[in-house]
Formats: sequence, C-alpha cells, structure tokens
Amino acid sequence: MYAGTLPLASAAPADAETELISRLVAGDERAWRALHRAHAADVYRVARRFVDGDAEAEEVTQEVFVAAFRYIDRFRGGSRLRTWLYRITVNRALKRRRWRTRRREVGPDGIERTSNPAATPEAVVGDRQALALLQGCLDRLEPRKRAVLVLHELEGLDTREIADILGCPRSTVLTRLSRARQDLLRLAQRRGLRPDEEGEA
Amino acid sequence: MGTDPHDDAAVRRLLAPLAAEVPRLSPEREAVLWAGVADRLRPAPRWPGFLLLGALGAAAAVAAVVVTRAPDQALPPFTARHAPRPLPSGAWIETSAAVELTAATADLTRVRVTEGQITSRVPRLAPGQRYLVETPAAVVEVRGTTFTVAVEPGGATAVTVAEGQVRVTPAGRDPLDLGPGPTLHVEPTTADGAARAEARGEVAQALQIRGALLLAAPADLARANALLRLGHAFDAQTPDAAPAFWARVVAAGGPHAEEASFRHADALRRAGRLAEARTAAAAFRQRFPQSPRAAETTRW
Repeated sequence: MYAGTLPLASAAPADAETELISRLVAGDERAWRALHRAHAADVYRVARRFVDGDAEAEEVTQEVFVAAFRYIDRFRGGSRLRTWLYRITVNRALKRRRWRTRRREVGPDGIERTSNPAATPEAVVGDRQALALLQGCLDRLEPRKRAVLVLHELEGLDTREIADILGCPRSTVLTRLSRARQDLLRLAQRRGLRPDEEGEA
Repeated sequence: MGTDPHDDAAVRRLLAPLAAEVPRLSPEREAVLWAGVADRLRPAPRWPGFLLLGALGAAAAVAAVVVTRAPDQALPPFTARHAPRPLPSGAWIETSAAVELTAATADLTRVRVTEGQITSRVPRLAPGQRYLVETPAAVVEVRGTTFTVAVEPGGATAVTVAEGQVRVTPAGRDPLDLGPGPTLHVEPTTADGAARAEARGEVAQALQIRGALLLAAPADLARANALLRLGHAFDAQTPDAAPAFWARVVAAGGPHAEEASFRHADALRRAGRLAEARTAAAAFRQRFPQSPRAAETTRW
C-alpha cells in the first residue's frame, strides 16, 4: 500500500525527482497522487495570489495537475517539477484574469477610492478594506509585472527561478520587478496607502 | 508621502499585510481536489482512440448549453469542466455547462444545443442506432467519431471533427460530410448569416472538400482573414489545440503566412511547449527576417 512518502518536497534530491518523473510519465497513479499531495498546496497558494476567491484558485489548481498529467512527457527536466508546476499555474491564472470582467468601485478619474485615505496597511492589518485596496493596487499592475512582483515579494522566489517560471531572461525579470515596484508605490500613493516607517510596526 | 519609488523595502512593508495573508489549502480540500483531478485523469487510458480532443470547436464564446430533457431522462446534468460522462448508447459526452438531452436511449441520442459547446465521443454505432446534435443552424449526425459542436449566441454553429466523420445538414441546405480538419461554421439562415457564411463557412468547407489547406492560390484575403479569425478563436478558447491549427495554416502559405507563422510560435509558447516554440520562432525569423515581430520572438 502506498503511504505517500515519496520525497517530493522542494528539497528533493535530483535523482529522486528523476525517478518520480519517470513514474509520472508511465502514468503511475500513486506517483500522481504523491505529486498532488506534495505540491497542491503550493500551487493553490500561488494561484490564489492571482485569482479572486478560493473556488477559482481551487479550479486553477485542478487545471494545473490535469495539464501536468497531459504534458508530463514534454517535461524536459531543465527545471524542477515545482518550477514547471508554477509555470503552468501562472499561465493558467493569468489567462483566467484576462477572461474575467472585474467590477470595481472607481472614481471619475478611474481611481479606486477608500473611505480612509490616510490608512496604512500595518495600522489596519485587520481591516479587510485596506487589504482589498492593496489587492486592488496589485490587480491594476500590468499582468507580467504583477506576476514577477507576486512571485518575488509574496512567494519569496528568487529572480532566477522566476525567470524559469515565466520563460524569460533574468534581466527581464529584474526590469519588470523594478518597474512593478515603482508602479505599485505610485498606485498606493494615489489610494492613500503608504508603508509604515521602518521599525514603526 | 516621502516614499522613494526605488525603495524595495518600502514595497515589502507595503505588501506585508498581504504577505502575511498566506492562502492555505487544508488536507481535506486537497483530498477533494485530488478526487476531481483523478476523475479527469482516469478516462484517458480507457479511451486511447479518443485522445484527439485537441481540435475542439473554435469560434464560440462558451456559455451555457440549454437543452430540453425528456421527463424520464435519468442522467444528471453536467457541469462545466466535468469529465466525460457515459450515455445509454455507449457514447460519452463532455459539455461546457449544464446540459439536458431530448432523447437518450440505447438506440437514439438527441441533444439540442442552443448555446455553448459540447464534445461527443461516439463508438461505432450498431445498425439502427442514431446520435444527433441539433442546433438552431444545423443538425449534426454521427456514425462513430469524436467531434465538437459549439454554438454562439444567435445560433451560429461550429463543428470540428477530431476523428471519424459526421454529416452536417445546415438548415435549408444540402448535407455535407465532414471529417477531421478545419472547423466548419454554419450560420443561421439570415442575411447577415449568409454573408458571414461566405467569409467563414465556405472556407472551411472548401478546405475540407479538397482535403488540404489551399490558401496559397489565389490570394483571397477574405478567406485568409477568415482563417485568421478562426485561429484567434482557437487561441482564446482552446489554446492547447491552437499550435496544430496554426501549423496547418503555416504549411498552406498564403497572404497571411507571416502572421500565421508568428501565431504558431506564440501558440506553442503559450501552451508551454517552449522548446518547440523556440524552434518555430527561429523558423519564423528565418522566413520573415524583416518582420517587426522578429525581435520579439528572440526573447522567448
């Protein structure tokens, strides 16, 4: 009986991952179950950063593993499985965002408003409105910049892995990251959000 | 405000509340999600002949499938993205949304689709068995095949055959046998529909009848544009099938070969087939070195 103890976590040795991949390619359902158990939470977390709502994130998570199953024979091993799954996740999530029509509360200049223009995220960390405003700033970023910013700042991935995930040079990632930061700060300023001074929180 | 836009730490402090909100998937939900994934993985080995779902319907904006169901019909309604479900006739059906059947016995399956997309996998039927998909614009009857019928709001119908053959009878017109290949578009019998049929359906029919894409001559821009529109629909609706579609258009040449070549590489890239995308991009640059998009593809 399979006990779900395959070494699938991010620290998995390369040879273990190679063996796992061969089992995945062979259609070993236990291997697929183990892959899902090991990575579904990560995929879900990343998807949730890009889409609205838990249900949509769960749908993306399912789509990612179905797509992985379908295309595992094309996985070249040039990156780790987790990176490959993240790549599918980001692609699927961004595609969904493109399809979705979002409804926003906006002012005549197209800027979302807050009832507390002086609010800082830390000061109102329990305030869903502030969080929603912050999320709104992220949502308004150009998708590729947003992807880089989310993966780096919220998921803690280094720029090299992000380049693998997005299929672009690292220099491009660095450029997008820099511009995304500038854009985010600019958007936050326009909404009256500002970061606390260092050490204040 | 005094915030330096280049201050990385400022961004981190700004995002700190969001970073602290880590979305978590409970083990219970993980198990539920796995059940859904496994449900979609398992049918494939049992239906090796039906794996060519890639050539799904093109131009439809996928919405709801609304059909009248017979009172004695015991099948549950399907929901979006569900795995294919069996019918009493031995066929399997996959839809983009809830669906009901007008008839579903061992000898007769009849589905009426007013809007949305439905994919059918039908084994070789015994004599006397029939399988029909009815839309406002056409009736599609099958004798053992895998095919997709997509219906746009207003009734315009797109039929794509992955394997086998179907007979399409546009309303008020002669039947047409359709095999694997380009999507056949059937417009409702209105003036506007007739005009659009000229620009789309005729292309697919001509291509299908000749058994190959014959865009190279004459350089018919209207027809080439129609193919491009079909391809863009593939990009939007069935990105996994888009590379194969664009590859056929590239092979055909014609006035939009440059656009098609670029789209082919881009479709591969978006489908995650990066090595193939780079190869296709290189072919694109070699064939169209003056293209303003050549530089773009070097970054893939």
